[in-house]
Amino acid sequence: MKLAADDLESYRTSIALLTVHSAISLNDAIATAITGMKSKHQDHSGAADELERISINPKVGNLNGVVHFRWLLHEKSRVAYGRERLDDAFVRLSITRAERFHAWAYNYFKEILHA
Amino acid sequence: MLSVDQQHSRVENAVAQFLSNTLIVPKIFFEAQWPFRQTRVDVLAVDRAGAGEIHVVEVKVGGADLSQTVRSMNEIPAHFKYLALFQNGKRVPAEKELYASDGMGRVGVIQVREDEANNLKAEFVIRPERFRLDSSYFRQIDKFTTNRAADMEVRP
Repeated sequence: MKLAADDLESYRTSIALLTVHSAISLNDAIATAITGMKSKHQDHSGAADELERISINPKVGNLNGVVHFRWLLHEKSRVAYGRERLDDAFVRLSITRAERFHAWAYNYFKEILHA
Repeated sequence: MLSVDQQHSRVENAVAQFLSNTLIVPKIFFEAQWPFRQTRVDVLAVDRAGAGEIHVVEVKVGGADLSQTVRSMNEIPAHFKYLALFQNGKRVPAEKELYASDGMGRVGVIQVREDEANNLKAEFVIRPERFRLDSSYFRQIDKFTTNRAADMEVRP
């Protein structure tokens, strides 16, 4: 995602797709580690609801990551199937949202996601 | 004309930006007391917001004994180690010196250059290879990142 972001003009749709899919993969890792099962939600908002349930826990300081994750899921159809050209501001915002989701996840689910 | 110390800090900043682009949401610390209070590394980065591998960078501006610097880096515990060079006439250490004695790990070399607009740009001359590191250092780096706020990080 970051490497491609160096050439935003050429890879804008791919970058935006990677922001969404990297967040989904990370959420799957969290859900699998905590519940023992991979998230099976076909409906994406279900995956975000599940993450929110998992995150209502004293060890998780805030739900900012859930907000970022919901935003990325909400934009998935537009990114993957939309016909319009994604503008620079939208792609940059997708990167920011994805990076903040990753930072949140690694901060609050460190034991699970540790190297 | 900037002093050597000012140039050193500029290079630290450029290297931190470079690592920030290369790693995944790292926490980055300047002049970090790692692994002991008495020892200091120019740039310390912990990948994945502190949950990942440990990266350390030593910065050298101008002429320096690079062989000695690489030898001293052997003592620093990290998964990835880098030597960042600026205004050194493109000298790099002999490649053989960059490897760990057991062959597991190679110090990476980052060359920092200044363009005509006085912007610094960092790039790999030699890519690093991962060093073997005892898992106890994860506990130590967790303590470190808990006790010191990062100088650069992505806010969740």
